[in-house]
Amino acid sequence: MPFEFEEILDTVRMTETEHFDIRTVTLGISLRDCRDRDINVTKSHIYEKICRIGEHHVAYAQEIERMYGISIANKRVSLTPISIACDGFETEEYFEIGRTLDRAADTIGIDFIGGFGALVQKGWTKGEFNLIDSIPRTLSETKHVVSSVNVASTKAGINMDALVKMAQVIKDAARLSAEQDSISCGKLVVFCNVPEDNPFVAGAFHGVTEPEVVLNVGISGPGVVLEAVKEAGNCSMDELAEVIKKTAYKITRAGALIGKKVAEKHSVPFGIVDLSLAPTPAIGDSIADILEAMGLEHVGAPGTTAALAMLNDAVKKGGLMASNHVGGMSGAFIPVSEDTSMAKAAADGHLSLEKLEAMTCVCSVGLDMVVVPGDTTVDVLAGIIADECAIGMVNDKTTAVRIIPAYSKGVGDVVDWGGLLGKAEVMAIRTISPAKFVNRGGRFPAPMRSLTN
Amino acid sequence: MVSEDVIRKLTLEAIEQLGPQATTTNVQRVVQTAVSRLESSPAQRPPSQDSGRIIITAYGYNAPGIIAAITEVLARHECDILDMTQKLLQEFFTLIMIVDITKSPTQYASIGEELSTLGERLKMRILVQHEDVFNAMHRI
Repeated sequence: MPFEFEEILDTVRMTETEHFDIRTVTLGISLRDCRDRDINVTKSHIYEKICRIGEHHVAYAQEIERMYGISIANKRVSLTPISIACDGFETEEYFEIGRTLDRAADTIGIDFIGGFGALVQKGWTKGEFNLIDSIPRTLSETKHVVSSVNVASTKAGINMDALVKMAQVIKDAARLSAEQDSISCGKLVVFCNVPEDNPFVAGAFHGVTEPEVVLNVGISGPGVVLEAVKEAGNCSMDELAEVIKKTAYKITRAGALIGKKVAEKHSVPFGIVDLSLAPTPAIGDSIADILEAMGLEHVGAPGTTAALAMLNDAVKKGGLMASNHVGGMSGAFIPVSEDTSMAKAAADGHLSLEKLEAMTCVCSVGLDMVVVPGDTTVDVLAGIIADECAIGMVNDKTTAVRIIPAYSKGVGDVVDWGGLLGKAEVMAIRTISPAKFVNRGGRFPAPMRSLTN
Repeated sequence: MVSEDVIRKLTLEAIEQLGPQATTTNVQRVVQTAVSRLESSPAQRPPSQDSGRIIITAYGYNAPGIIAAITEVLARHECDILDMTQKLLQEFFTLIMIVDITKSPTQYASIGEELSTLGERLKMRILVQHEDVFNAMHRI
């Protein structure tokens, strides 16, 4: 046998019982050649290009799934940020473009399409401003469109005007989608140091440095890592890190293989593997469970930040060896509503917003799928986003905020979106006001760190 | 469907190989023949230069006739069994086979589907996976 019996069972176990799958294969498409003076011509170019290039995306992915016996949970598309590909339109026209994206997603049969966003860390163009204005309505009246706006970077500082505006956008989006538990906020991310090749929604978009079309892949292996950690038993930190690293290597290798094969079917270049450990609400597919298996009574206990740091680092080391191109977020996701044990720890009072904020210093995503009271003010939201941006800006890493001020809900109420977005209880947060601070406007200067020459 | 990229590469090859005979008509003819040959290849090969080797894992409760049923399907599709190993743990049965499907006229997907249906009938789980997954995970 070219393989050991145990090796084969190892792989089979991952997919059969440990929830290993490819979280997403995301086809990145450039829309830079679609702009026309006429909005209707622009819309038709966009629709035609997405449908032409993405026509077989789902079918190809399904074929590769069958070949290798590893399921690909989602097939998605990401686009050039619309505000760049289509600068200079009016708010209403951006809403129409959003509807076009939604239609295209429907036609090719995918669930989410990313790129309805802007990069405004240093300031905005008229088009970018108008697009941001159109976000609440676009997200609330479409099914598949997701949006991300980058308001800060290590090189540029923090654009406080854009940041405060995004806090207002989040409130508006919450209100407009109130009947669906403010789901629009689950489709909107505010970023610092956004990566341009992230395959995971809602932050996915096709950066302007990317080629015409590219295929990126994101894997999902918390269940596999969890089993490996449990099996390692009561070993030292060194040995535990080694176990996690080796497991991350294996799952990333599978992800890289699948990504390459789907790219080949499309005859497009393979971009990157995003190494991120991304949880789902399924039992056993939780990052919080891994942290608890590592030895914490509940996630949120003192030591959580340290455990997450070690986990994230080991995943990156193992994953880096496994693929020649790594990118996207590549870290550990800590989305509250999408991770059943994380949501439970928050609901039971073990996990606070402050602890989550500390955890974002060592993982890759930021405050993700955190549900807060519907009456949280714009100023408090802006303060939360500013904190996250500062962490990212000063430490030269990606941070982000995907926060849901659940309209008309208060602490302890449950929001439930079903599916991958999961469910969670509304968390209590401090509401003392940063109003004077965040409303000063202007731009935080870039930190010392930015002077790397 | 052969991609534009491949057609371009074929054209450049043809021009080089035909040398002074590389008229538009000749090049077109050569490329068209090559393309139709590519598009009408009988069995669905795994993409690019992959081996035709697959790994079949079957597991479930032991019962007579499991191996016979699986090998019948493989024999009918002219698959070549390269290696086989099984373990029986009390009533629980696991079988692993390495199979070469290069000479099979049947498409990979159909073989997989047939075995999967067989699995349902035998109340076992039968997984068919191309060996690349195992190569990727367990070999550097």
